[in-house]
Amino acid sequence: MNSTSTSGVGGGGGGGGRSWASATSVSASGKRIRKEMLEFNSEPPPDCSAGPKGDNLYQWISTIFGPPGSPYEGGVFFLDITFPADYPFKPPKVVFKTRIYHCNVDLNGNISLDILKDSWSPALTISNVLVAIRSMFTNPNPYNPLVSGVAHLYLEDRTKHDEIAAAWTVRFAR
Amino acid sequence: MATEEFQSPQNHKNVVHRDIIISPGFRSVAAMAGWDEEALLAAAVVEDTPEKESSKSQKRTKSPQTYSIRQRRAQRYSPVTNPPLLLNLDDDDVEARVTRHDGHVAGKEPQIESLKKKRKQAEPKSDEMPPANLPCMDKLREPQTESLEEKRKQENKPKSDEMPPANLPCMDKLREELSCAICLEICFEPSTTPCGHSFCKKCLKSAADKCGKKCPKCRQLIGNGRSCIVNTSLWNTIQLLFPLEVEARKAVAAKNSREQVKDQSTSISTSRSGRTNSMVMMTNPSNIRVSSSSRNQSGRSNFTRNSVRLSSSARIARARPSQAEDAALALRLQREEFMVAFRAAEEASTATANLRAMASRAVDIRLRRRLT
Repeated sequence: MNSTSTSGVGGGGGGGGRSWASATSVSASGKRIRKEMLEFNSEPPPDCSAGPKGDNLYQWISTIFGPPGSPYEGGVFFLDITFPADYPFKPPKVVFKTRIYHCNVDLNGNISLDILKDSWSPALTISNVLVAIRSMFTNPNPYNPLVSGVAHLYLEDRTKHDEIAAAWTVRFAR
Repeated sequence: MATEEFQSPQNHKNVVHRDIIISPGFRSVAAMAGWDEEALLAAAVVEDTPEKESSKSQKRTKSPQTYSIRQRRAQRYSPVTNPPLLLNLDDDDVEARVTRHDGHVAGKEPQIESLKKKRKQAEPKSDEMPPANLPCMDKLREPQTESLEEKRKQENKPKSDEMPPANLPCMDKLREELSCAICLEICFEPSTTPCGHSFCKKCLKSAADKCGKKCPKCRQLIGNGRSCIVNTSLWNTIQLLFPLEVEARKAVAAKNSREQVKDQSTSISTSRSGRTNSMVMMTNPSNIRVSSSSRNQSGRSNFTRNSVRLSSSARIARARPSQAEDAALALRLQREEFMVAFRAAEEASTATANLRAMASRAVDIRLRRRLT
């Protein structure tokens, strides 16, 4: 894990290479991310893991295990998390690295999740986000889809959708 | 005997020359008297080697088993008067070391104790530190309507109110309850939304600026002016419960405000060091020109050495801020000297240039001596 020296200022190259406005705001975000990391490690949400990729506190990698009872059961899904420099006032960018057959996740791994966009609140943590993504596995939102074909199939023929999703899970997530 | 050879080189030498140490005649007499040869040898070895050396070598190289065997033997064959004494000395040494070690360990505890005491002293102090706090404490205690205050009182039962509340059982829950959801730290100057959620004033302000005027917790709309008001009773409670955290946050805030000043000062200092560099740069060409005008090979080497010294002294000055002024003065003197020398050289009076250069060198040497 990260040492304390890789503070927000030191690892402040993060935020997706964004230039940071002031030293205080970056160190504040770094502090918050470090705190979140500690909290996450002390009590991680079920079937989830997350942590910094390397020295950069702003670049995390996360895994979510497909929840049992869903067509994604048995799969391990990798996600990239990028914290912006003005985190937590802007949402983190979360992208699937593992391909998944899901109406709310597109081919590039982008997620359509309200709390990662307009409904983001600075009181949310990465733990909340991962829990939300995990619940997305069991309860897709076909009315606000990113891949309309998958959403259509989900609404029309649920069993076939689940079969394909399970096949994709076996193929890409194992 | 093999173990003997593992001893220090000095001992090894003794082993090699053991025939010289113990003459055959003496050995036979010793055998008749029932003295052990090894014990004698050990005695000789211990006698020969200085005390510390022997103890060290015994500690390092000898296996404890052989040590104890020899010790026992040496004690059994008491006719050899010296070795037991010396070995006992060694034992004493070891014991002393052990006791010293114990003493060290024992000394640590008082240290910890004193540290604890210091903490105990410091914490009530930090309690007292904010002058607005003391009347507030009384105020808080009087109404008794504050549920948190009651909780605190219940938890504080065994201790006085002045005791640091850091070791309460519910502290983690309290910490969670009183921490800001935005920065995840203990609320600093908390302000409470109309919906009843509290955040650091700063955090709530920037959340309202960047994420819209909604409560970060429940998304209810926040009124305009309300969010900037500090919830005084909550703030005071936090200050009472987490004096250390609050102090740390205050220190950070103070540091942040100071950092801006420091930024300015560092820019000044860098410009200053840049100036000294430029001084060196200015003096260097004059060095070369003066030396070339003097056409003195050794003089040039001296000059270059001087300039090196100069820069090194400048470096020292930069490393040690106490000597910065001294070095700056030296540099200024040097520069003046060299400028004068340079001018003199331009006037083609090589003799005066040489003289001035020598004088400057002397000054430089004197200065350097004073610096080092």
